[in-house]
Amino acid sequence: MMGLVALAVLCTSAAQIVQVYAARQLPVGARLVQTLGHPLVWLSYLLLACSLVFWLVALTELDVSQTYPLFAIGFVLTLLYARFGLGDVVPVRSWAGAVLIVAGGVLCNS
Amino acid sequence: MQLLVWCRAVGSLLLGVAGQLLFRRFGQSQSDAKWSVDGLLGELVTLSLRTVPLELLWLVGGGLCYVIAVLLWVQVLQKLTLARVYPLLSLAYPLVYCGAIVWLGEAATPQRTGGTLLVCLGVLLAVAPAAAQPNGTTRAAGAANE
Repeated sequence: MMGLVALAVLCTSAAQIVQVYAARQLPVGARLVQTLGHPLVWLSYLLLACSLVFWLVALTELDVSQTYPLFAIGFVLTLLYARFGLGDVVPVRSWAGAVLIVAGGVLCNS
Repeated sequence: MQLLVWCRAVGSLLLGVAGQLLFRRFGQSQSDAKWSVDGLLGELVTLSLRTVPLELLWLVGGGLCYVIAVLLWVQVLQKLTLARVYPLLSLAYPLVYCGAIVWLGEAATPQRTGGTLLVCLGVLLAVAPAAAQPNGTTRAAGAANE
């Protein structure tokens, strides 16, 4: 069940990263039709749908008070990708926040 | 007008929290089903067959909350920068926690209380600097999740 939560978090993060690439490929001021027609936008929806299914199945057994904080770890994964995959500048305070998030997620599940 | 935007932001936050609680309520109603990860597809079929109207209400209600929350959030982002409004979403963690204990009867433990507070503070700390440099980093991180 924790594996499903991990998959749900990973899919959410992946969807956000895919959205960044979609936003970069789409022209500035793209129309709604153009945006909805982009394959990467569809891929992000697919990933979010997978995430939701994994999450719903996980919630049949696991407490939401225990597992919901783990979604913040998706934020950390996206932050790592932004820094090392996209080369974005990430401030030190964001890293400090990431450490707190991971510590909190682990504590909730210990 | 600024007040209206913040009302929408709070509305989005609360609907998002309600959505999570409804999803878990749905999960609780299904918890006597036997799950195995390798038979996931089969289990999903079983899940849909087992679903009776009241339980379906939790699921559909949760989904509706989620959809409206996202719509409100997009409206908010048209008026305010993500850096200004994202810290509000850190409250989702303690709110889901309190709701789960009060409404769903989940167990409050010192570990979960501490962990939830750490995550809340962590998100606040992580997004706060974005106000100084809105270069898209946290924009990417926060866009779709809530």
